[in-house]
Amino acid sequence: MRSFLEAIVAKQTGWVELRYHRRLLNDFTVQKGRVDVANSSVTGGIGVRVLENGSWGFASTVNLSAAAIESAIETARANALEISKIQAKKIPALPRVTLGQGDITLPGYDELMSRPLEDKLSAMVSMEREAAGSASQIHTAMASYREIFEDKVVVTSDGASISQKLVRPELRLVAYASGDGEQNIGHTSLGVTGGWDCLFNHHKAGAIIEDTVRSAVDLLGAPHLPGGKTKVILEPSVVGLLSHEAIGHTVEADFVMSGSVAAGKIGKRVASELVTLCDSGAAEFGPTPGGLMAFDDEGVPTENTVIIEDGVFKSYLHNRESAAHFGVAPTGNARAWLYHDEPLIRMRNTYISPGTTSFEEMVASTDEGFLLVGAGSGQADATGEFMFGTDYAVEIKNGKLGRKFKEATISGVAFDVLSTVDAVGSEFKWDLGAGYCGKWQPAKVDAGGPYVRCEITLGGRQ
Amino acid sequence: MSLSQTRRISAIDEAGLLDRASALLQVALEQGADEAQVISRGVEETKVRYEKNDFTCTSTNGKLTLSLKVYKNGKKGTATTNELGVDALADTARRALSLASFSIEDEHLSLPENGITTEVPGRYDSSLAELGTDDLHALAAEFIAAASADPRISLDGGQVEVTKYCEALVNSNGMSRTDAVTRLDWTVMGLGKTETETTSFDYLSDSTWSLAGATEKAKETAAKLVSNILQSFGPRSCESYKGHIVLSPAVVADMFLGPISYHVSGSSLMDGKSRWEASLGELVASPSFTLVDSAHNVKLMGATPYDAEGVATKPTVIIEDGVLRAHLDSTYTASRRGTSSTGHCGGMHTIEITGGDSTREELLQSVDQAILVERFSGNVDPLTGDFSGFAKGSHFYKNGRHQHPLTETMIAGNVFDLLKDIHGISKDPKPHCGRFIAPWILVGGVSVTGA
Repeated sequence: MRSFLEAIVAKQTGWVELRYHRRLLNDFTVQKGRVDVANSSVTGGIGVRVLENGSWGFASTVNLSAAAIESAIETARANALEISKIQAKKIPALPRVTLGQGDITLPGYDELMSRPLEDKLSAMVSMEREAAGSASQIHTAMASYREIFEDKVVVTSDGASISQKLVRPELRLVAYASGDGEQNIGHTSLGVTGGWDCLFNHHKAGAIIEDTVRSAVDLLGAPHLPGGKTKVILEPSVVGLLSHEAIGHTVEADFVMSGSVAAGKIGKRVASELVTLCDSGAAEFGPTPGGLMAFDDEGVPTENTVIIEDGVFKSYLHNRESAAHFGVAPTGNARAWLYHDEPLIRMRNTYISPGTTSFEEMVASTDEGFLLVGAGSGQADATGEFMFGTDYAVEIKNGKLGRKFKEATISGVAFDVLSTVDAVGSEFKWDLGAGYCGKWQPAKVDAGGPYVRCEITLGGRQ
Repeated sequence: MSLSQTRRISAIDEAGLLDRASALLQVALEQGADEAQVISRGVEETKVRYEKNDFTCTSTNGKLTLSLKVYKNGKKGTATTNELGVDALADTARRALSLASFSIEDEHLSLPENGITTEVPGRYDSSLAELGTDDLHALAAEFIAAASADPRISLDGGQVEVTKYCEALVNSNGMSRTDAVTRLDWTVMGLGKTETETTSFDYLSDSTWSLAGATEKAKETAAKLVSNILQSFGPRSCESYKGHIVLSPAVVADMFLGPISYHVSGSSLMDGKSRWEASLGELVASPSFTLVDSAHNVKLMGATPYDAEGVATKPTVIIEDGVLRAHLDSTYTASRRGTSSTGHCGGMHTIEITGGDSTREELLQSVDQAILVERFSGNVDPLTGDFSGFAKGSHFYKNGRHQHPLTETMIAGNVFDLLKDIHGISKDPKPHCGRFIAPWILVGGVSVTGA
């Protein structure tokens, strides 16, 4: 496919990018002893992007013939010429950068492809049965497995020619508990870039059934969290979500150019000096995060981008266009969900670097507050204001963990919260589970960090 | 440049899709499926994207998808492809049957019989199907200009998209359906910015089936966004309290529809997850609350003649004067529960909440203090009904008088408690974002947490 696309690009004038993307997605869902989902899906095609007359044009086709691809190039060119009539600022020619060449297959792809689907479904049947039978309060369990095989080729007229294969398996377990007229859900999800063994080597995999069932049962009858500003310890999944939602979105360069709160912050202190926050296409501090990739969808090699270093703001996240605008190198953050999506600036694996305080020391030195556990969904605002849910909270009093509370939604203003960080843990975990990010199109991301102590607003009951 | 020159990447029409669906159905049956269903979908779309306060890209996509469901020996497998050619059809059938071969037997698996559907006209407009890219750009330019009407507005993103969507559905019981719609969708997201202040962002979207009146409708969306943002300058927090809030139609939908849909759905009912399993005929909400799935109301973009497995849709009263009137089933959940399909495979279609007899201002004047919540940014647990999150675009009212916009204000409570604690519903509910029709609703018992 790479040489085929190279030959088509070689015949073109002007800047052209061809991106072949074929996705094989297999998924199973088992619930109450039945198979609700046993599905295999193939989606493939070519996305064409051109930069013509200072404007982007895009088109895609499911037909992989040279004639159809060349027709899509013409459509993309026509789109670019048409939009240039209403576009105020022309996009300058993209600066030369080092672009990827060659073929790469990330670990796990071949191993997971060769593992029989029957074995994968069988594992879900066993897991669901065990979870459903592990406590009298559990009336339903659900086990889901999904694997996404990505085959991509990116060829551009200015030198990118890269093929990349990777696989992202995910596992979700949900337990429904009931008692005293109340229902509750416990859930755990895992997501990695790698093979079957890699998924089951995830730090949550060993106790996934026990943890899921316990969280469903323990919260039956648990009180609601009181609202208000308080000291909290965030576990690694919540730290990851904070890094992604509260900081990561505001530092995407396209959002910065639209006026996000991160505009003009380069070189300024924005957080406690204990905070170093990064977004990486690689696997710092822990193996196989869910957003791992060697190259982005513009063919730019990914890197570890330091956004905040020791509390000082260092960098935004860039694609080639925004990097040219800011006069810096692209950071490898251009990503497209499917062949018919244009690459946008997206995060990969976002995290806070580990510090030196143990979890035990952090709890022992907290007079009053809460430990927040389990990342839910969330949103961030241009102002840096963010909110997201966590699974539950554990009370801390006089340096000791106590009772559990449910419905722990937290909020704050990103840089204000990071300025209150007074302890950063020494243990690091990638922990966003089977998380996805939404921004016009989905993106598979991961996030994590160590335990972090800070002040935050809890949106509980009055 | 006309659309016929720029947008037509793949020829998509109902007859062609029906041929493809029938071909895959035949292959699946020849490979040994006992029963099979195929849905083929074709999409032609062109969208104009706006980012960083400028138009950034126009893209054109042609998509084709074939989705196969097979039952063999009482076991199910599904497979999907967008690849073309005879080999792709055979491979898709092979994958679905392979999955079915090691699945678990389920006596309730069956496909619906053919039946009569009611036409839902007014969803296809040939002038929209043939809209030129230049005309689409002109419409987008007017929309964005209206949304940028004030220098304090900064637009983070926007999009205008025209889509022609065709579908064919066939199954081995002789069902054969085709449908075609056109739609124009627009969305815009922006914030207010001065030298000293950046407001929260806000976003609005809407849709239409036809070109007539589309520009005016899009400009109304833009004007509403501008108004929302300009009113949000100078926000302050409020004292925490537990009491009344007024929910906008968008918040009514975001908070109420998930939990209601969850607890009336056949899948929740058959698994013992629904709190309303034995509640048909009982009061589950305030007597002033009525919710209907009208199914065919073309003011909303979910209007459809049949559901996701081809079963005819029809208007369904779900909650009437606070009383639960219906559970919603697909063929499968109906078989499990010993009922009949209500045409709700895939969920509800067009949702309407009936209006009351007050104006929004009268709702605010009827209580000592309240916050008016324009948008909810938070989480709602459909199982328990617990919700918690930011009250975005909100305003604080005392004795019916506007005090100030709000910032960093969180609200929390339980949807099922709110349904029974409705103190007023505004009259003249209107379509919102093409997704639902809802009024403003005054509820009590909500925890409001200021910064």
